[in-house]
Amino acid sequence: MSMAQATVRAEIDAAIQAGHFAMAHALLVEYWAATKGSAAAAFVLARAARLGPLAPARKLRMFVSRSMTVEPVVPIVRAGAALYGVDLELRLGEFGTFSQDALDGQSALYQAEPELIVLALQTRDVVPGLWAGFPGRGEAEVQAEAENVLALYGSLVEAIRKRNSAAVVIHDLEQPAWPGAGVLDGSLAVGQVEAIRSINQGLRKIARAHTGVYVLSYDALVARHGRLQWHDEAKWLSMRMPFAASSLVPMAEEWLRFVVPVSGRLAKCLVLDLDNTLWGGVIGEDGLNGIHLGNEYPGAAFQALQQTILDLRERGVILAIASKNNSEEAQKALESYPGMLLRPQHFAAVRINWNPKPQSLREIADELNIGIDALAFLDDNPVERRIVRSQLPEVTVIDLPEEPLFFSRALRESPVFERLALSAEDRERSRYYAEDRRRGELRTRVESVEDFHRSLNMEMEVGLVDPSTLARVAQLTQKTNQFNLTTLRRSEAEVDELARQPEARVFWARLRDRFGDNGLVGVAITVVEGSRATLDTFLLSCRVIGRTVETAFLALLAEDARHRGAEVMEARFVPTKKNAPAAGFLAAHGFVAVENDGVAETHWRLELRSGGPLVPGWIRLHTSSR
Amino acid sequence: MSKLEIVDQARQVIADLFGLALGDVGPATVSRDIPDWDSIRHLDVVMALEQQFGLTFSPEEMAQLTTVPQIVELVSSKAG
Repeated sequence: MSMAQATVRAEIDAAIQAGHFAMAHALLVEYWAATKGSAAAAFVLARAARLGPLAPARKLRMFVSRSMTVEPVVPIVRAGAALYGVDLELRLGEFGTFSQDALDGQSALYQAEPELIVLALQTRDVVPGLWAGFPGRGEAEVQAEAENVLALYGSLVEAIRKRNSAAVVIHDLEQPAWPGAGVLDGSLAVGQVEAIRSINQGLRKIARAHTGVYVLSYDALVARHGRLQWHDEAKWLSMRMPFAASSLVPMAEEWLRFVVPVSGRLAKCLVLDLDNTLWGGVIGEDGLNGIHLGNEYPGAAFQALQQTILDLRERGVILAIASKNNSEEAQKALESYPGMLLRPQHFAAVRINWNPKPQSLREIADELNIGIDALAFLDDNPVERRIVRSQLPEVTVIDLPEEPLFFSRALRESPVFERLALSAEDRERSRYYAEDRRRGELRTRVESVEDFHRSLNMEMEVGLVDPSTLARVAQLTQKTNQFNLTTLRRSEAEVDELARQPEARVFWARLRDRFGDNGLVGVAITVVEGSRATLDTFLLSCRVIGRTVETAFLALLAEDARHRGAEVMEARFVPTKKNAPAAGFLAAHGFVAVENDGVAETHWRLELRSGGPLVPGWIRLHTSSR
Repeated sequence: MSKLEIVDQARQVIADLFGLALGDVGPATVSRDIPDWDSIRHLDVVMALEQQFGLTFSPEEMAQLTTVPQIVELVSSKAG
C-alpha cells in the first residue's frame, strides 16, 4: 500500500474517531474508488460498520445458487453495497445443488429468505453437451440439449416464484472462447455459438414471462472484458473458479447493478456541473468561442457524455444543472452553442449562481419535490465532489476519472440509474427513503465546513515574480476574469518593469492539495509608499475560489506590507461583467468602504495595525526562498 | 520493488483480509498463526496478492503462499 493510501486510511479512522461520519464516509467512498479489490474490501466493510448513523442500514438478504467458486467475489460486492447504504447478507448454495436449491422447499435458499436470488450457472455445468465435445453432436441432439436446459431453467424459476417474491437474476450462458468446431461453427446447421445464443434468447423469454425475473448478461460481461483475460486456467483447474483476479471486481459490480435497485436506492435526478463536465473549458474565462464541444477531439469526449446523459433521460432520469457561473453566459451556451446536444428544455431545474453546490442540490431536490437521496451528482472537480459527499452523504456523487474520454463510461457504470420493476419494490423503496431522511437530519448539524477544508491538505507557496514565473504571472493578469479585483492587464514587459520598482512587489501563489499540484493560481501586486500600502492587483484562478486560499494569500500580503512599514492598506474593487465572485472579498476580510459615491469602482481600507487577517489553520503557507 | 516493500505490502494484505492490525502480522507469520486462514480463505489471500502485485500464480505456487517468507520469496522472484 502506498504512503498516500496509508494516510487516507489514517484520516478515515481519525474522522470516525472524532464522530465526523459524513467526512469519513466521503473519504471511504473515494478510497474504495481508488483501491477496489479483495484486501480493500475488508477494510471498507469494517469501517462502513463504524459510521454511526451513516453505517449501512438497509439490510438485504441475497442468495446465489452456483455451479462454480464465487467466494472471492462476495466481500467485494458487500463492500460496494455498504457504500450504497446496503448491509448485504450473501449466502451461497452448495456446489452443484442448484436444482435442489430452487425445487426443494426446505432448501438453504428458502431458509435464507432472500430478496434477491441469483442463478450463477455456467454453460459447461448446465449444458455440458454444448460445451465439450460439441462437434460430435448431431443436430437433433443439440436441439434436445437446448430444450432440456430451458426446461430446467423454466422449472427453477417457476418453483421459486411459487414460494417467494424475491427478484430472480439469471446469468445467461457464456460462449466458448473458441467454438469446438473451429471456423466451421458458423456453417453448421446448428452451430455451438448459435445454440448457446438461442438458449440465451430462451432465458430472456422465461424472464419476460414472470414478474421480477431478470437476465444478467454474463456472456456480455465476459466479452466486455475479453474472453481470454476473464479466465485464469490455473484458478479453474485448481479451485473451480472461472475468474482471474482482475475479473472479481467487474463480477461484483455487475451483481451490484441488481443489488442497488432491489434495495430501493435509485437516482431519480442527475444534477450536472457545466464547466469541464458538459464542455471543455470554463465559460466565464474562455468565453463562448473558447470552450470545447463538438465532434472533434477534445470536444468529442464531452459530446459523448452529453449523448450518454440523453440516453439516461430516455430511461426516465430527470436532469438538472448546478453550476457556479454567471447565469447569462452559461444560459447562452446552453441555448445556442452548436455542439450542445443538451438544451435548456432538457433540464427540469437549474441553479446557475455562486452558491455552494450543496445548497443548490438541496434547492433542486425541494423544487422537484424529491428526496435528496434521489439525486446523483456529476462534477469534474474532485473538490466539489468531496464537498457534496461530506455535506450531503445521501447524494450519489459519481466518481469521475481525470480524463474526459472516460466520463461517459463512468456514468454508464453507475448502478443508481438501473431500473427494475419488482413486486415488493414500492414497499421497500419508501422504507429506504424514510430511513435515509432520518439519517440526513442527524448528520447535517454535526459537521463543519472546516473538516472539509482540513481534509484538502492545502499547501500554499508564495513568492516574488522572477524570470521563471514572469510568463505565467503576466498570463494570469491577462486571462483571469472572475476572481479579479481590478482586472488590470499587463504584458510580461510591464510586469517586469513594475517588479523592478523598489516600492512595488509582484507576488505569485502556488497551491498544492491532496488532489495534486494546481500550479500558479494567484497573483497580487502591492505598492508601499511610506505608511500606506496599495493593493494594485489581487486575482485567483476560479478553480481554487471558495476554499479560503484567498484569505491565506491576503494574510501574507498584509504581513509583508506591515514589514515594509505600512500601517494601512488601500484597495479598489472595479466591477465588471465577470467578477461578481470577488465583489464581497474585501468586506469579508476586514476592509472598510471609503468614499463610495455610487460610482463604478469602490474604495476600501484596512487597518494593518490590528493584525489581521490570519492564515487559516488548515493551510500550510510558506514563502519561496529567493 | 525491494524485498522490504514486498514484506510490508504482503503483511498489509493479510492484516486487511483477516481484520488484524498490521502489527499482528509479522515477517515470519504462517497461515497456522491465523485461525481464519483456512483453505477457503486461502483463495482470498491468493487473489488479493495477485491484485496487489499484478501477478498470476500457478496452482503449485498458490499452494506455497501460506507463509509470509514464502510469499515474499515467490513475489520477488516473479517480479524480477
